[in-house]
Amino acid sequence: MAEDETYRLEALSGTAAALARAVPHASAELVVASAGALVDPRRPAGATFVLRDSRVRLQLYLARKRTRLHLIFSRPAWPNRVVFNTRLSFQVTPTLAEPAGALRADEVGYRLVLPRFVIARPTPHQLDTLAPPGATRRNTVLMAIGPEGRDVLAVKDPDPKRCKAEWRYTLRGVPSPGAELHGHWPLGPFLALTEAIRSWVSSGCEGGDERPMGAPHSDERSEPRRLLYQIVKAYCAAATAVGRTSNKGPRLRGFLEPLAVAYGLGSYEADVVLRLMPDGSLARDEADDLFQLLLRVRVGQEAGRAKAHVAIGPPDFLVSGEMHRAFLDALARDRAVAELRRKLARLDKRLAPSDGAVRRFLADFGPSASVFRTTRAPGTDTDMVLIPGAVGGRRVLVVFHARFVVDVEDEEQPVTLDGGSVRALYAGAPDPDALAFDREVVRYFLRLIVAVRNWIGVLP
Amino acid sequence: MNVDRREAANAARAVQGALTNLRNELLSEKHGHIKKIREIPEEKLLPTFEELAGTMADLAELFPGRGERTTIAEFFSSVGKSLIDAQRSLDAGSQSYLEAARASEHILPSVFRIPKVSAEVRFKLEKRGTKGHHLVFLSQKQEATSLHQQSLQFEIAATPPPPEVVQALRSKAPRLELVLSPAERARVFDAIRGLAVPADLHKDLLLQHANEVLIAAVEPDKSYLLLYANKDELKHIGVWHVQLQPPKLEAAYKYNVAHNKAHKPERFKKFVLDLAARQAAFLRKMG
Repeated sequence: MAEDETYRLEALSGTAAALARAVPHASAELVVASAGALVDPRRPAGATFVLRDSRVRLQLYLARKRTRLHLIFSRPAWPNRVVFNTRLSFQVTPTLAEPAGALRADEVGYRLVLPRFVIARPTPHQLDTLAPPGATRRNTVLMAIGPEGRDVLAVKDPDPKRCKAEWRYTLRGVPSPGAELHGHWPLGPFLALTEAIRSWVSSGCEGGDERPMGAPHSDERSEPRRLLYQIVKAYCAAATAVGRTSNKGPRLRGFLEPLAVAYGLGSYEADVVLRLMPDGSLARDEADDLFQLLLRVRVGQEAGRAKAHVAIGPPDFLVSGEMHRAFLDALARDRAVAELRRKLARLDKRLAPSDGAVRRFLADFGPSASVFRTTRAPGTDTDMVLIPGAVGGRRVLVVFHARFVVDVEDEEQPVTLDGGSVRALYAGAPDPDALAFDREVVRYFLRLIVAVRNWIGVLP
Repeated sequence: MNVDRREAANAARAVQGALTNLRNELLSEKHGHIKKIREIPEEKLLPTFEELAGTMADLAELFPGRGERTTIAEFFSSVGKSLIDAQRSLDAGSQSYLEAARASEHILPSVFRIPKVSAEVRFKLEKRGTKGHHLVFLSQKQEATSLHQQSLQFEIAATPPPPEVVQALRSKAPRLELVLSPAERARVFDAIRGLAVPADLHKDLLLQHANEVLIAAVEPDKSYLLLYANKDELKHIGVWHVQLQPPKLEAAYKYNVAHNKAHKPERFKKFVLDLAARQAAFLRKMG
């Protein structure tokens, strides 16, 4: 059987339903089989076995073939084709609620969860007072950042290619004069933006404002919406299959009926890492160096009706988890520590007097580091590492980027620092006016801002 | 290799049908020559290809030697069966333990149960013709190197059944019960006592050894089965049917008749003799 066996995306529903249906079916068979031990009056009544919680986790890949989206269950070896990593998981658990009736994908209610810090629909007054002159909803993104989101960063006409944008930062109600960015950003507002993104990612990209979203349908022209429809349809198929099998399970009739367990589908979540073309379609070629965005879909039932929550997130922005740890482990290896010490010492000698001091700093403050990929390349990525910490009682910030070799199939060392690639950008007390970030970082932020703006435009 | 020929023939016909469909899609209706591939809309061609691939996989499915592939239902079924078998072994172990505990003051009587089983299995999904998917379980080596794994976590728990369910189950479960009521047994023997029946029905033998005759009600107060065995000879075992109204006695398995060699009544006879001895002792106590 070929490794790259593809299915039409429509096959997702059937797969999810078959996996989900198997649980109540198997549980009923298990009850019937184990109930045999209860019949013998010479023995004490034992127990029956039931399937309690079952969680299915599917790792899938999506790829375009001409005009259609296809599904692959095995990691495909297609060097030039864009493949979107997809995770789908759900639980089938016993429930006291009535089993779900037939759910229809075209009757699902949709809510779009916006990034917490994005002011999705700025008022004309906000645009006038908080954004650079000439700002409109189309050309400007307003972000509420800083403590409790009281400060506002407005970025107008973000142009990642030329690394250019106009911006205005309003700190505690006091607007800065509008300025044009040419690849150098002051530390203050963008540190606050990093913190806002970090907090957003930590919350699982949830918790932001929700707004109703038009329900997608099967023959959508927009590919992300068509994909969304199929993900939600798979939920409906799986939930309906579980409900039906709970109702009409095998052989649990008559006096065995009280032993029947009803099941429901829960915790249905799908994550798809996508790359969008400027027109909102999915990327076709690996050469299109597009920003990755995570489409996170959570579907459940509220008052008997299926509700889908659709959120977006930056998958390349790591704040915790296994990959985050893997990056920090890569930095803590001897050669990496020595290189970091040398490079940081050029900026602040007191910060990195020895390898031991660097290692201690990484151990103490590594968990609060933000690691984000600024450039993708086959086998080697450039990642930005930003570590806020303290040395000798004073607050310090360390910012550098470096190339890393990422091999997720290597269980021992999935991430390795590409020797000699560290470029220290900042080391010392955080000065809000310091021009700490270089073009690479600025481009990352601009791409993120553009991607968020595009997404918000594509989905509703 | 056991392959169901009819099923294989049907599967082969399905392949043939799908192949014809594909051929029709590929050939121009007018001239019978092969169309240029771009002339055929993908939407039209793809389902036909998929149909062909599906039917071929269905056909391949019928032939064994396909490795560690199983359906989801088969997987759960085998896990459940193993668990029930394991609990059954534990039950047997518990029984031995209880017997041993009875003889010793220092051992607390206990029964052993499997409270729950949690597991996570990694598998690959593989198309199963037109019928869904196979789960393909991965070896340890594959697990270490492969990332395209799917996973299923599950927990099976033992739950005590409600007492009323156990009661209902036990009361409704069919079982063979011996008639032990002296009054009911007397009615059965009274019914046959007055009958004029051929000697080879051994009516008198039954009446003489009434306490050793096992009686099971076919229909209470209407008809009964009687079993009697004598240890003298192997052929001394018989089964009779008795009807009370009008009284009637028939042989279901003739006493004192040597059946052909295919019959092996030894164990059956021992079972009847042992049970009859216990019944006789019981009936004597009842007076």
